Amino acid sequence: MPAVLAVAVVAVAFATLMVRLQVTRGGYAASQTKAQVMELRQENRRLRLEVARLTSHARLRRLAGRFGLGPARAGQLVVVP
Amino acid sequence: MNSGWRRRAARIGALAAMLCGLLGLVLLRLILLVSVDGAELVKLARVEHTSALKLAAVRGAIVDRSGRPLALSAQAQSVYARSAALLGRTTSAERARLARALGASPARVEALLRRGAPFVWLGRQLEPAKAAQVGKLGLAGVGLVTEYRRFYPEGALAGSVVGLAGLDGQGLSGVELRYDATVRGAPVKLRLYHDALGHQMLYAPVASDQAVVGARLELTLDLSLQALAERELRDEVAASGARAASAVVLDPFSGELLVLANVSAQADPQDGRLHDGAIQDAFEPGSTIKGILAAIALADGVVRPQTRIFCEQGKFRVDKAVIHDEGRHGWLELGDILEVSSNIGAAKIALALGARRYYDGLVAFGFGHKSGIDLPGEASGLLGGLRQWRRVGLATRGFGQGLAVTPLQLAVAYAAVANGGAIVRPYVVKAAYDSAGSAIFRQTPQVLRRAISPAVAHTVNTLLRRTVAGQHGTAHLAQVADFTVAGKTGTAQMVDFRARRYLKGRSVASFVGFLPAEAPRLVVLVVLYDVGPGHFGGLVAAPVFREIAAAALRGLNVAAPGPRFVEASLLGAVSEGAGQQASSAAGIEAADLSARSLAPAAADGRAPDFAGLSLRRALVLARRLGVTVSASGHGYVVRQEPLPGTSLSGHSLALFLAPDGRDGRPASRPSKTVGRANRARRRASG
Repeated sequence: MPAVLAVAVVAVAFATLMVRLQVTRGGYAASQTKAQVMELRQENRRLRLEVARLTSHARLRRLAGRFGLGPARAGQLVVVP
Repeated sequence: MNSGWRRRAARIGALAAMLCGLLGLVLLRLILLVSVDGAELVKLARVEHTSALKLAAVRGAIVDRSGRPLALSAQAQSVYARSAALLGRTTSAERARLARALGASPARVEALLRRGAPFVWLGRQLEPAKAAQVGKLGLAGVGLVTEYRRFYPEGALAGSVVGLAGLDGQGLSGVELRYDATVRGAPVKLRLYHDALGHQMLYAPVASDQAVVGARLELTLDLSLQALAERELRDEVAASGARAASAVVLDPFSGELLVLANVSAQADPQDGRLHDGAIQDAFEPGSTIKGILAAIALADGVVRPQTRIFCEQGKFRVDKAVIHDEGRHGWLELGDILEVSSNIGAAKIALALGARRYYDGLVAFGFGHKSGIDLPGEASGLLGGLRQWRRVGLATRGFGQGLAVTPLQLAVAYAAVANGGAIVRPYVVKAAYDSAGSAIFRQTPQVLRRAISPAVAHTVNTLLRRTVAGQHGTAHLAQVADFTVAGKTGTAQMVDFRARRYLKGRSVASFVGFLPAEAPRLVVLVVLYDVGPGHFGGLVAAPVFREIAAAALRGLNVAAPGPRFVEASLLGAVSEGAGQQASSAAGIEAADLSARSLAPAAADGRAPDFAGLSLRRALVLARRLGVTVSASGHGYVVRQEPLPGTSLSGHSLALFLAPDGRDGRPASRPSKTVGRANRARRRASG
């Protein structure tokens, strides 16, 4: 009986240790993911800025001019009531 | 044997007792550690295993009414130095390399380091490539800090409204300053757990960095229209030699500002963001005030539209001063006075009204105090104390001399005429949203007070149309094709505030108006400061008004009221708008369009032949006939119902279009002239 009890105690201790180990590993992984999320968010901000720069009014106007495009002039648009 | 066993047992017992004693001591120590020193030790462990990371606040984006970004924040790195460490542990050659990486001169970096300060910023908010270069050098005493930098992707466009944010993320001017608390966000401190080797661990929930993002502000400005207005102003400043110019486009019913543009002859991007002339600069309104004077006088009952006023043949003495008109006028009605912009007529109305009533009327229209726009630094304008409103002062104020208004005040006053008499509070920020996209607040239109009755507003609206469309009107150049414009020109002398006198030959030219006059949608104001002689408001400001107003109406999809169309403007627009490549085809088509006999169709109600026309031209033709059109497909008209020559019963017409102008069905064949036009079009495009 004491032997069984001793084995049970050791088993529970071992299981607790394993769980604790898993939690630690999970903590590391979560931490890395969190850092990745933050990095990606920064990247997203940079890319949004890049999009805004590339689609800025002045740049699009300049590019459109090269292809002979421009805003609609008077008479080119007919608004139907 | 027994004695040996006993000795061994005694030794084992002693060892066991010793071990038990030691265990007891360990247990005792453990109990003491937990119960006595526990709290202190936990605190120490926390210090050892945790570190704090401060995440800088991210300013929210500022976007126009369509969501196009005007201000954004992104990470940038700043480089600092601990002077003593850097100077003591690096060579001058290494520091020169550092300076090159920063894009600065070595002498400047040395001077900064030897200034005596222990901490020095070597570069703030650098481009990522530069910061990476500095990091690669790995010099002792040099560190990198991540900060958020404000970017303005549209450059100087709408700069005076958006304003400026400083290096430390604080608003300095414009919307950035006024809504600083909303857009700024809050820095967040994260507590990170790490092990003995410094690896980060995540045991406790870590706060999200979402919380630090400031609100996204949505402006009422229309970026395309703002760009157009700034471009038109810039061109006119260059052409007229003006020192600066401003334009305001306002929704007269809501107070939303679609454009608030300022242009200076000496373009300084920094100053352009710090100063907003449209709300901060006051000028003498000149004749533009006559429209408001007319409204006040009509509301007071001192004049009626039919009241005739003698304009003294161009010369009128008030005490010691003599007031002149541009021409010699005799008896004029109120509408005539506005049409020819008679100073004498306006002066006589002001004198009849009296100082107190005119003053109160101007105050009711919003002059002399701030309009309440949600931008910082707004000026109140200047009406002067009533004591200055004696006979001469009152007479000259009748035609806009001796008082100062901001462009925005003038636009708001005309908005009241346009909207039926209500003074609305102008605003530039439509709404603010948090990072999850939920609205923090939405601006709602706000009527501050009533300046005049709707009936008076309607009368003034009708009279102001004569300035633009009347035979002797001063603002024919403000006419916008298809639309009726009501407005008033102004040309006032520039004031030298230091010398307290008018500058000879320098003036402020302006035009303020609204359209469509029958159902106003927009108030547009254009002011050009410090223009030379001969640059009247009707000559320099009115054309800018026309361009801005026409583009604004197109942008808002405002249809012209009724099927009116001027033949000449139609043909001009067609040949101008079609572009060089297609000009020959467009010319043929335009000629073809004008050649189609509308008179018989209009007379006996028969449908003309629309075949071969583009949708745009078909719509123009239909409008002239007063016919409602429904169209399907794209390209050129291939079929129509009712058929050409048949009755236009019910005044509606269905058009069917195909890209190549050829109908798969044999129902209707293009006429010979249309066939020629199509062939010419294909030749031109091929």
